[in-house]
Amino acid sequence: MFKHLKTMSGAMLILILALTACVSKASPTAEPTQPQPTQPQPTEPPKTKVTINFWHANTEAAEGPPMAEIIAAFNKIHPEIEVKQLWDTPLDKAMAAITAGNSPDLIIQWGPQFVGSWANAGALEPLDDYLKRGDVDPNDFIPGILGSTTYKDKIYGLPFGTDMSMLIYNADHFKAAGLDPEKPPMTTEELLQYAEKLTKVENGEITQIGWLPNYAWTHVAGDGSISVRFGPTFFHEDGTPGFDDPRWVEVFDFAKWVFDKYGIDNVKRFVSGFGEYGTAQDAICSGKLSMIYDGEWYTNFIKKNCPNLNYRVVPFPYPSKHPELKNNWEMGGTTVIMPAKAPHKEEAWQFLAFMQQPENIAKFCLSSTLGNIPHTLKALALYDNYKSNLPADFKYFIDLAKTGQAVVIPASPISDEYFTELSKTEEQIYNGTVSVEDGLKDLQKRLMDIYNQKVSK
Amino acid sequence: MGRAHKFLPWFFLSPWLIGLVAFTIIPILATLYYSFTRYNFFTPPSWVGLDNYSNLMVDPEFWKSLGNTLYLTLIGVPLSLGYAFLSAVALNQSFRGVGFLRALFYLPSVIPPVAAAVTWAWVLNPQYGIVNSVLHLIGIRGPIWFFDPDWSKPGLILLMLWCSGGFIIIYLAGLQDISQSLYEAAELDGASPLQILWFITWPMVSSVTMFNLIIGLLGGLQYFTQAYVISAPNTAGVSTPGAPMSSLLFLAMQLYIKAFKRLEMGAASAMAWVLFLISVILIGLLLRRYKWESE
Repeated sequence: MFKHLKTMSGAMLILILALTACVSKASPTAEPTQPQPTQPQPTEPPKTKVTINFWHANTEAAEGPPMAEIIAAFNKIHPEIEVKQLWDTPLDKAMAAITAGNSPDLIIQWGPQFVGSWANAGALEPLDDYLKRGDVDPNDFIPGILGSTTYKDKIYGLPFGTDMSMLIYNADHFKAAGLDPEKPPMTTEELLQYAEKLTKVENGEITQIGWLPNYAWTHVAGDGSISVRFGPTFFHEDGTPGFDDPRWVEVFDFAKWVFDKYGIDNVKRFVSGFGEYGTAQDAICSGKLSMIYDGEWYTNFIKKNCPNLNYRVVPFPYPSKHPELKNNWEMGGTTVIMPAKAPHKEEAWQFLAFMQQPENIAKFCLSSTLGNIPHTLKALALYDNYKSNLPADFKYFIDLAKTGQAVVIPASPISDEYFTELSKTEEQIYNGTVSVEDGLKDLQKRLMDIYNQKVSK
Repeated sequence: MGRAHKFLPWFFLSPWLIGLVAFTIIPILATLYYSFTRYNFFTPPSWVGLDNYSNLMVDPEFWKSLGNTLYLTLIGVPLSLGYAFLSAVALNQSFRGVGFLRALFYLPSVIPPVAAAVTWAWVLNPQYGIVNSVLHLIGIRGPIWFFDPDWSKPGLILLMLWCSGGFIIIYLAGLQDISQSLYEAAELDGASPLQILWFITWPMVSSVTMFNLIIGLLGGLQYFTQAYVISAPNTAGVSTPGAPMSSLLFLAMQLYIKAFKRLEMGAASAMAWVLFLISVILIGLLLRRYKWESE
């Protein structure tokens, strides 16, 4: 029996050793554990063809065709490099690949919120040294936009198209409610007055609602945040959360109005009957919601799903107390990062720089069936070349991007917790289980605990 | 018996052994190690002792998700067993079309969990759902189900009952094993159908109940997919995990968020071990009681 065991353990040991040998061969052990910026080196054409793996966390349908064109153009002028793209790879898949030693060279993802925690974990390559080479001009970017990917004074990602939300409203609803469709609400106070006139209640059931602060992309948190219109502090200079700023009270007093007025359960019951967002049955297309705060892509959705809708696009109202915020807008958008363990950083940068040429940005943003706002001034200037294919109202978004003041939520290692906890507080306030002041106090405390636990150590 | 004879079985077993060691035993032991470290996937783990466990004890999200998980397990599982038992008794009678009915009761349990969850989100839709429409016919304004923190878990339990065809099949097999002589004797003694059910059928399938209970408990403690699908935003945009009001935040979901959204692999591993300990304790207690009762 004992001998048996010995034979077995011997065999097992050999097998395990063989296995671990395989694993360690696959993961580059020579790689330093802390990410170090690679020194920019003069480009020397490599002898063998290098493959750049470019992973998209997004779905291919809308943005695939223009991206494929950009890649084909790059591969043509760089015979020594081949960029290969892979769609529908969510971040957790990329994470698993990186840990297993098969890191992609570039990753593109909607929303920059993950950059802070990935940078804090040492997973991202800082791009500052590459940017010094001059093949990408950061001064041409919409001012401030790099704030969403800057962490501890280093740039860990570049935007690729940005997003902006504006007020989109149903002009026929305005007329039916006795409002002039050419006189949109200018202030947030006016917006609520309009919302009341646009809301219909029959036998205790809501049948049409003027405005919702938490439908689709509209939220207090995240992309499409209505809070930027009130100018609150998202994070303090030292990186701690900013919910002790009294402006947040103004944000929530505005946001919770509809639930106080009509009752949370009644509103939820009505909202539950909305068809899926972005289809012909969604709240705007089916005429159940009169005003929405939504992105430039929504004009494409209307064109596709309900082309006969009589709608207008205007900047979202600002609080009358803060006229200085009249022209601000929140930048969201798509972000490209290079993992610290990317095997071919030099070639990956070459492609990244190629992507950032104004013509390529404009092509990606303005010729996809979704639509994005170009994030550089030169690319914005190319709008005229594409406008024949875009809904006419797309131009209002382009104009605001050119003339408005962009606001960006800074990268933070606690972004995920920040937005989750904010959404929880949002829900509690709307449900009336906590007052605005107490909810915010508690939110600040919870986030400070998380910050202290995660960051200070 | 040559040397080859001793080595040969292990050689043939080795594909399975390698799989077991590489994909089960090593990962399990690795999570035990990670649970004592701070580990974010990208940089090597650093030892922090019991910090992850003590942080868990003061983490309100952990207690919330534990409460939700126990609610679903301790209320939902016994209910679905009761439902499965009674359905099996009914389906064990011989009448026309029983085969068709058996298939009908079993069918929902072969539907993938995601599809079942999406379907039930519509069945229980407050405005257009069939349940509320029927309630409306008899003059009741139905609840808003998955939009109300008090009704969301009962909604999930309804879905659980609907999917308990697997339990019904096992009960049916158990029922058919009961000797007819017991029923004949009981009938001769003048026992009522209810007495027969309670004093003969139920005790005779106790081992089946035990099996179903353990499978059910394990499923309940690891509940993830349906809750994730239903609490995920059905439109684009931000949503709180486990919405409404964290009422659908279960342990497995919180674990997933910690590991993959927040890169806290160490804390997530600690949670996995706590979940494992809870399962061991619950099932240990059950087995002890079962042993004690059958002795």
